[in-house]
Amino acid sequence: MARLMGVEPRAGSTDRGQLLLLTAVGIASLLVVLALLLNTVIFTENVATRQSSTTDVGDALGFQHAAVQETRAAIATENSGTGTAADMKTNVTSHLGNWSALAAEYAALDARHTSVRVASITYSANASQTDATSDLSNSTGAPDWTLVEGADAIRTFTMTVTPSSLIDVNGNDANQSVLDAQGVFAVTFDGTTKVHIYRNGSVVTVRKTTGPTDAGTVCHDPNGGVIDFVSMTFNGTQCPALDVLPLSNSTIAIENGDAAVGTYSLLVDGNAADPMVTSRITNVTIDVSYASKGLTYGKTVTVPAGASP
Amino acid sequence: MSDDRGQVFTLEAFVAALVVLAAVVFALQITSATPLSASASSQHVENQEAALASSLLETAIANGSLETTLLHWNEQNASFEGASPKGYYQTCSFDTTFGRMLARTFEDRGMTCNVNVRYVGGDAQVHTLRVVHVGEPTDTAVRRTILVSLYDDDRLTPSNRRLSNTTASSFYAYSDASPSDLHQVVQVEVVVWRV
Repeated sequence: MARLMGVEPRAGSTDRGQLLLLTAVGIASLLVVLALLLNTVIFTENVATRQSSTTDVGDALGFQHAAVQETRAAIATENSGTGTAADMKTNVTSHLGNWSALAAEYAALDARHTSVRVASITYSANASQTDATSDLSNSTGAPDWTLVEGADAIRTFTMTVTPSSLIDVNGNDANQSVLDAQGVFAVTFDGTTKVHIYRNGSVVTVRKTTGPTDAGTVCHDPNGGVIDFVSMTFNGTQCPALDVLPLSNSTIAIENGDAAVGTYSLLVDGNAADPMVTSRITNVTIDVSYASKGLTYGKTVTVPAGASP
Repeated sequence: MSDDRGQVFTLEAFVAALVVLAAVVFALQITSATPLSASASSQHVENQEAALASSLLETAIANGSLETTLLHWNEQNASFEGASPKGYYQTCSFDTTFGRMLARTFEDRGMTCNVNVRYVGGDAQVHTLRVVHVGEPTDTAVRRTILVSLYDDDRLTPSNRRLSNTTASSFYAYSDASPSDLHQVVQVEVVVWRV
């Protein structure tokens, strides 16, 4: 055993330096620390699962969902009517503006601000004739008339004519002006491109020309059938004569509609300029905003029209 | 070893035992056990009740039962059809599809509810009308709301009268301010708590 200068160890010393008391204090401290730690964990979990922050997000999304549903209902109401595109825009804007104002009244009671605003509306124009016994003049009987003006894009355009109602040119179909002189039924695109539909004997012929002296391209079918200007088919068969039609920003017109009997269906984007064409809303884009003390939310949502009523 | 230190050791042992005992009692007292239990004040329980209320309202909107209940209005009595003399239902299980949904969702789980409808009156103020009032909610009650649109073509179920043909004195949510076919937008509030 080392000897410190001037210090003599007592023989047989059993002084434990209050070891029992120190150990007890250590255990007590440990218990208190454990209790504090447990409380911290419980409090943290409690704060994390409170609804105050997540409720705001849920409310914002709920409001957006309600706005989308209301917009969809407004679109369905307008598309079930026969109003013009301008009328539709006025009605939808008024409908959603009124809904937004009322919703904001209730939101204000909970210290929140909500609003819905119509940003834009996309239309489509629908024209069709379903009576297969009627000729292709317009409702007033005029054989030359405009189907749609300035269409942004042609979505679908099909036509079915009764072969026996078509003019039989007996092979006299050299070019556009020759066919025009015989009063042959034609669909014109922007006034220059024409698709004449007629008979050569018993064979139904579709001829596309781009000018008065243009012989153009042609396709035939002995039985006639559906002419699809967008899919470029004639009675289900590809028709090269239909493959370069101007299908955007087009004005589509009928010439000599009394020289053909049949049906047609046309759906284009954009406003309907012709009163015979029914406007339909394709989609409405709305700006949704929601603000509370802890959250500011805004989103632009495009609501498509549902199935036709 | 000196004999007179024995008493000090004994005293030390007593003090040590008292210190440990005091620490145990203190630790047990400061631990917050309430949030861990499934009591009414548990945050998890409140979250569950809120989720139930939200789901119920969304389902009621989707199947039209909420709108039907709002239109289940007796014009002559100026109260909901089949309600108590006070003009509102005094139980969550009243005789409409929405009432049965409330009963299945809440009463079967040991909860109860109040249902209120808010509307903007002709004075441009927001008014509150009781649809269901069972009692005063507890401090741990949860509240959820949803917007319901009423249209001119909707009909009151007892009389089959169109909303556009009602008047301010015959229907609580009557409105002549909307230029479109939207008659009124009301807010339905459900307050749920455990009994």
